[in-house]
Amino acid sequence: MIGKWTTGAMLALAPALAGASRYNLQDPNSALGQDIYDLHHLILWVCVVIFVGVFGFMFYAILKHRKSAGHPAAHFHENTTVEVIWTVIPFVILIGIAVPATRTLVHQRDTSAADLTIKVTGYQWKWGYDYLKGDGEGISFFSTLATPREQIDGTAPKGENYLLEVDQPVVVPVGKKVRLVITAADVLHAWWVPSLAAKQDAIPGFVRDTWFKAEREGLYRGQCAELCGKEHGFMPIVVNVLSAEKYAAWVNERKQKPAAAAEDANKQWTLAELSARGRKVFAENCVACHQGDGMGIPGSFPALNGSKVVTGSKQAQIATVLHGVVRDGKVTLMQPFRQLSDVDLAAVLTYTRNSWNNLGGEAVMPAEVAAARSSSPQALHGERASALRIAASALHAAAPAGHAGAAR
Amino acid sequence: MSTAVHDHPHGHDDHAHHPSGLARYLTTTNHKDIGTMYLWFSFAMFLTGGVMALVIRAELFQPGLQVVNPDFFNQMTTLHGLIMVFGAIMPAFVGFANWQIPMMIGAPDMAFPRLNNWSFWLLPPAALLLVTSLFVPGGAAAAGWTLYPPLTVQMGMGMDLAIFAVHILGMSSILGSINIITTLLNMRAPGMTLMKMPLFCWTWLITAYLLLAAMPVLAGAVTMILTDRHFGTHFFNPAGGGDPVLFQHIFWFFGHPEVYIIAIPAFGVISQVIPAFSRKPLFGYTSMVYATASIAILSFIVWAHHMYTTGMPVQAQLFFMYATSLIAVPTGVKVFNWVATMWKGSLSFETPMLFAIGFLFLFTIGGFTGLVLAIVPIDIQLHDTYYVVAHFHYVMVAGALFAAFAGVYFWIPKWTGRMYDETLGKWHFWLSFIFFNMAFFVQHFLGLAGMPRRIPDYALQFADFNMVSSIGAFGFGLAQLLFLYVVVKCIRSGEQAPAKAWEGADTLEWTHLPSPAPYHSFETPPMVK
Amino acid sequence: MSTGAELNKQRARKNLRTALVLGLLALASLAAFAHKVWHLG
Repeated sequence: MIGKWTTGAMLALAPALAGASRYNLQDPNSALGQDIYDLHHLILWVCVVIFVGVFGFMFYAILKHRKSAGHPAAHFHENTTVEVIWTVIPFVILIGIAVPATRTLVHQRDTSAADLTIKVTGYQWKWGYDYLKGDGEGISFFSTLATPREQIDGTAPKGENYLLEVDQPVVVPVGKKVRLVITAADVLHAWWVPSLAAKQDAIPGFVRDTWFKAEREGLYRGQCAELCGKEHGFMPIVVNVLSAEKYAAWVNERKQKPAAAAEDANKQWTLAELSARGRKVFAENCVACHQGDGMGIPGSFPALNGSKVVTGSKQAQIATVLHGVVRDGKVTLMQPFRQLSDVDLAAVLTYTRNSWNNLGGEAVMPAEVAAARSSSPQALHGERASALRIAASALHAAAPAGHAGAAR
Repeated sequence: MSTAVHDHPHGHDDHAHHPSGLARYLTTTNHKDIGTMYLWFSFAMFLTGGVMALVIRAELFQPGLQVVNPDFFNQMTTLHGLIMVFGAIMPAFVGFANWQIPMMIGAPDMAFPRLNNWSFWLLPPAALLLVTSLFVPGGAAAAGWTLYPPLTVQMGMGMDLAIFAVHILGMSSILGSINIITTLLNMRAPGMTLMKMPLFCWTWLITAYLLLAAMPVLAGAVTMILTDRHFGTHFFNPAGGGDPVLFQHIFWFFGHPEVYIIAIPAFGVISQVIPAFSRKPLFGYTSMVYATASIAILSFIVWAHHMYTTGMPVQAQLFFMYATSLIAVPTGVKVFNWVATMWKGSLSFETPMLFAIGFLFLFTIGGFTGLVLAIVPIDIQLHDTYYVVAHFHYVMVAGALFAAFAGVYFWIPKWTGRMYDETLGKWHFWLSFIFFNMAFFVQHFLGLAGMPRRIPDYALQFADFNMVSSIGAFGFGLAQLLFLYVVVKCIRSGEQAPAKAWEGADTLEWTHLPSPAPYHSFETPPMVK
Repeated sequence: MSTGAELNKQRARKNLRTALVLGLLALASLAAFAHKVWHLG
């Protein structure tokens, strides 16, 4: 039975050796990833050989040295030579593994001489990207799960990239060394894209860094890899690797974006328009906790349907989404949503005030949100700018950890 | 159920000495009673934690959210971990220690019988705290069994209950360790030197020292979380100058020795079972003792291999990588010794031996994946994925749990005076072996392909392996009900077992005591040559 | 029976001494931990 199972395992491993990512690490899209992939193969083979050797002995004993076959028990119980040999040989093998492992690690930790530096911030439950240095400097956006709630709840068929799709992927140029400086706003997260061989914990209050250099264009997907609360499984990462020209075009287009947002803000909105837009904003930002029926999750997340905050004064509700809910000096899971535009905030507030059993019949206008925002002590731009300053100083202060490998 | 263990097989003289019914178990200071309670308690916790595992696997049976919401899912993973580690596996081996250590060294009881009673009775309240935390507002702790802040600071009062439970469990472990070490150092029969102790006793001596050193650190770490939550300290709060990673260092300084606290007594059980069914002395007894001690010492300098992705300096990563790889040497020595013990023996394959061979085979796979994970660049790819989940279940389930099963089947004739049903025992082994691999082998592939752990829902390319894994998990769970049946059947109607139930068994409990072992044994110590 | 009982009496004092040392060991572990954390803070 055991033998049969071993054969099964070998068969299962066979395609892995042919490079199918189903049984193995994902196909690497960087030289570093290839090094790690090869290192894993080396160790896997060393282990397989030792395993087969040791258990070859064991199964031979099971077959030949059994009582039912009449084998008498020998009485030896030590042999210094053998014991020394099987202590020393593994030690030598370990040194053989340590050498390439050390080389790869030193290379992996060398974040110097980057062409592009992006600050990555983990939030519950989305990723923020700020382009700090290199082409695209100043670009800044959030990236949230794009899979519709219905697919997760099973009321709609699941798409090809179920749970691995975002509204705005992080865009990088091909063949350039991209350094990521990573931090978090609330709890631990971890930024991970397997095919780029980049994983780094995002730690609130601290800045850590990693890097990757994509060799092929295309979309590369990953997920948050450190438990960060309820929606931990729902904050994917998508990296869009573009050619130099396409990347330049993307940077150009992003720079135009603030103008479009301003145009939006000046538009005259009707309640119906705002509510329709708000429905979308709600689905992207609020539904995970407050639920589609606005009933929340009793004991964990309050209902919006019939809530006094939602049906009460507009000012209080605007303040809630701008500043989050602070209890005992700590921001609760209801965090500030200042990153959303005035129009989006106005829209989602309008939606909650006019949905389910909430029939206020009143719209919140973008201008009202804008007024509340500018009178608040921590206006978006101020906060953003200071966050950028912190990241930038960390950038200069901390010498890259893997400096020793710069020669490579 | 517990009373059945003793009331049937034991003579009526015993009842004169102690109260009967519940009062007997509340007040008992007898190592055999307490050992029995530990074992039944751990089995009850094993089933509780197992049901939680099945909730997890039911949700992961297919993509999408069907069974539970993500928050409850996280509560399940957290409680499953805490309950299995602290409630099931650790008490199971303390149960073995209670039953076996006095009998194996020729002592009348543990050194501190009343302390022993207290160590056990601390456990049920702690378990109750963990389980009832599910029903408080906000639910149970949902930050993973590793309790990493700042997430732990966001939790509701279920977190506080979990912290108190950990305090109590830690207290119980420390008291139990003091008792075990004292017993082993002072209560050995005349003539039994340390180097003549059965290896199971050696492994417990070493484990108890690990517990003494590691448990206070865990207690300190969770206390810091408690004060961060309620008393305004900022140990782990960056806004107040604290550092979330500090907790990880402290936790794993406890957590890695904890892995060996679980594994080393399992090594001890296996080191008794394999020679008995090979009818040949253990190969390399001395090197086994030294290898175990080396593993224990190394376990204190490798903790940060759980933290390669926190971004520590490359020099630190290199140190922890080398130190961790080094553990492969003494672990290898142990595996080689076990195989050499079987070599040219006269092997037979009763259930305890099957579980021991299953242990050897699967634990080695877990050891090899451990070596893979020790290598920093590979670990950075695999950290927090299902590869890690597969790895530690090979070590904890196929390692520790299979060893515990081997131990139960091995010693139950001595404990109850009755033989278990060999056919059913073998069924239990083969079902456990097959379903275990079905549940966990495929998780290696999931991890390699990029599925993170602790997620309630996953991308479509992971669907088929998750389905296989869930089916395996349910099969494994059901197989354990068969184990319960085998044990109950053995207690109620098993055949009378001889004093020396196994031909190759040669420790004192087999050679000097009848089956079942009398309620008071070795009141006059035996002479050991 | 009686020899065993006598042996146990002799052992009792030794056991208490051992337990005291082990208890101190656990406390030392806690103290070392507190010391370390104090200096990190």
